[in-house]
Amino acid sequence: MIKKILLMGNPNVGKSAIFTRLTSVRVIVSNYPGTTVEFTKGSIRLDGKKVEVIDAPGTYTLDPNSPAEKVAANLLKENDPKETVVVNIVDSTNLERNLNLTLELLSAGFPTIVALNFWDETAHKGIAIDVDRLGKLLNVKVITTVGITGKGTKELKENLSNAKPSDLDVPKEQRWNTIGNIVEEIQTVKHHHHTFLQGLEEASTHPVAGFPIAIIVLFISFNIIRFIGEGLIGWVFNPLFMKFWAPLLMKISTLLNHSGFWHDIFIGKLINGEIDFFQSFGILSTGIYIPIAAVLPYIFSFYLILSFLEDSGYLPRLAILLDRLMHQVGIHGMGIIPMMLGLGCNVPGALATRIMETRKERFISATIMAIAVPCMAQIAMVFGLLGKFGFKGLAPVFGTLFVVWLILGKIMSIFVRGESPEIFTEIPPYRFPYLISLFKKVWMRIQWFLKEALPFVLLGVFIVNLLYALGIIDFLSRIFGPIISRILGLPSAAIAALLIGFLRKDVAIGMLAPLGLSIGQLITASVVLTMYFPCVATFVVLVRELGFWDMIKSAVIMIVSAFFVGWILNLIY
Amino acid sequence: MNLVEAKQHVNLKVISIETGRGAQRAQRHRGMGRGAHGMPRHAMPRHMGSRRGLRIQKRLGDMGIREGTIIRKVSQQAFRGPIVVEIGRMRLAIGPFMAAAIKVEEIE
Repeated sequence: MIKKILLMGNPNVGKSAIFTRLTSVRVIVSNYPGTTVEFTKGSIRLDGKKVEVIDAPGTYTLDPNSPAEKVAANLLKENDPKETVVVNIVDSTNLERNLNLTLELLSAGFPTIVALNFWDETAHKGIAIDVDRLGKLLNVKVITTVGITGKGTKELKENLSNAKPSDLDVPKEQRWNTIGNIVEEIQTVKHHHHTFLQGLEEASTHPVAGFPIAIIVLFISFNIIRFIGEGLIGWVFNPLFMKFWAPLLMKISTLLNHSGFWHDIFIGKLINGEIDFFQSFGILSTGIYIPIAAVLPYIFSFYLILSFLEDSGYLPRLAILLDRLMHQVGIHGMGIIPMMLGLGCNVPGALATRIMETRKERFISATIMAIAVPCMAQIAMVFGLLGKFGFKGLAPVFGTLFVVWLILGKIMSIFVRGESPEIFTEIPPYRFPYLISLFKKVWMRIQWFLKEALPFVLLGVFIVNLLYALGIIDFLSRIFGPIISRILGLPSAAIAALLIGFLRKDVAIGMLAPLGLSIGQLITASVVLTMYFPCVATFVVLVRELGFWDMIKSAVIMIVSAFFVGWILNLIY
Repeated sequence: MNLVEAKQHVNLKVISIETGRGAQRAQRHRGMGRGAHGMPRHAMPRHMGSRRGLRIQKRLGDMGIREGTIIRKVSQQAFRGPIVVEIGRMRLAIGPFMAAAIKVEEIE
């Protein structure tokens, strides 16, 4: 009886896309190897029974080279061939390489179905595959699919219950010969013309032309993110909050007589008799304003652009161009992927460090990501506070963080034990993003933000008010205030921001608004708040990824370097 | 001739994949740092290196690069950066030390 279905295959062959189609559980689908680093479970109904479907991370072999591949290999070991069907997803434009894993899977003795994915791409790449003949040679059912549009998933479902194990068991040494023979027999390739995408392909990894292209791509991306983010805030969210939300809150404020404990918690302090969404700091005023009006527009615009870059396949090219730079900090080019994801939110960034092969690389990439890569929620708040100073206010913050990233990485690459192997990765072809799935992905990430971040922001604002009301902040400022003001040059009340920064960095940066800081103090505080410790959500993931002791080491590096850099910034400003 | 020295955009046949000292370096950080057990590089015993060399053979083999495979070099980044090769319709980025371990010859 079938109890489980495992989706296995090489990286970047569309397992997650087919998984989404089969189960309607939404998972992130991108165009680079290593999008899925953990397995996701879903279920389908098969002959009236509920069957579990597992989307495994991609692997080239069952003898794994990285933790993500290990997850996949272990999935196979842990399951019983009598109750499990393996669906081997194969990139039909790359048969030869994919069949290696297929033969390994067939030798494992599981009932198997082979799905030739990207079937639509074979036609315009001039590839013809004899599907029936392939099925006979492999002795299993072979079907054709287009994961992203859902073509072939129905046929896949229908064939699941009659999947059989193959009797093909090719010894390791003969595998490539067998593959060569199979491919020769079933596949014919016509010479195809140079397409526009291929021209772009050559240019974007060209040792000279690649760099201006990368700069243009990143410059355009940054400007679109800011244009959409600022536009949404200035033209949509701010007017909505000012016209509708503020008057409503003022009515509640009047009901509560403009003061008192509950007034302070829900509405916050009135600034000149009005609500100031940055400074009032009540749950309903600042607590709602920060995540919805200040951060969400940037989350949306950032993920729109990031998803486009992910789906087009540009990120691995960027990894090649930046490989030399990344080796300076002891990780190879693919380390750019945790950094880019970390710019959205440090949690997926920390998870993405799994695509790195060694412990040393994972430790370095996780640590410099958590220290020097601010998440979009935080960036949006820094823009909100320092944006009015323009380049003079923003450049020192992000410039300092980049220098810290480089120097800390360099130091760690010398002193952290272990190996930093070279880049070794497949580069997927450019694909024009399938817009429906791109928007679904952006929507998924926004939902994730609303579900995971919103409650923490509200909780953070509530705790701030509680700590003030109970006098705990006053108490702590008296003890730690002198240290904070002597080293960082910040008012002692900034200790509250450091405390809340552990919960949510965006709230912490928001807490700087009522303190009336100078531009230099704002810059110092923004940098220190980014660096000194990850937020609780990232912390939990990092403990799991690095282990307890490595996380302690990492945390010590964070705290020491944050205060050191803060001290230097204090001396400068 | 190894893959670093080879010409771009011509068909190359892989003659052998070295597992010696050159290949060892590919699995370590280039130019700096310490070896697997915190030892300075020159103090590393030879057998540790050969294991690492075999690892390269395996990783290349997993992707379909072995003796006799026909590949093409597509691009090479400046200052000993990664090399992009094409095997059939697949493209791979390979670090320079790993590429130096791949001995190739030009074919028609």
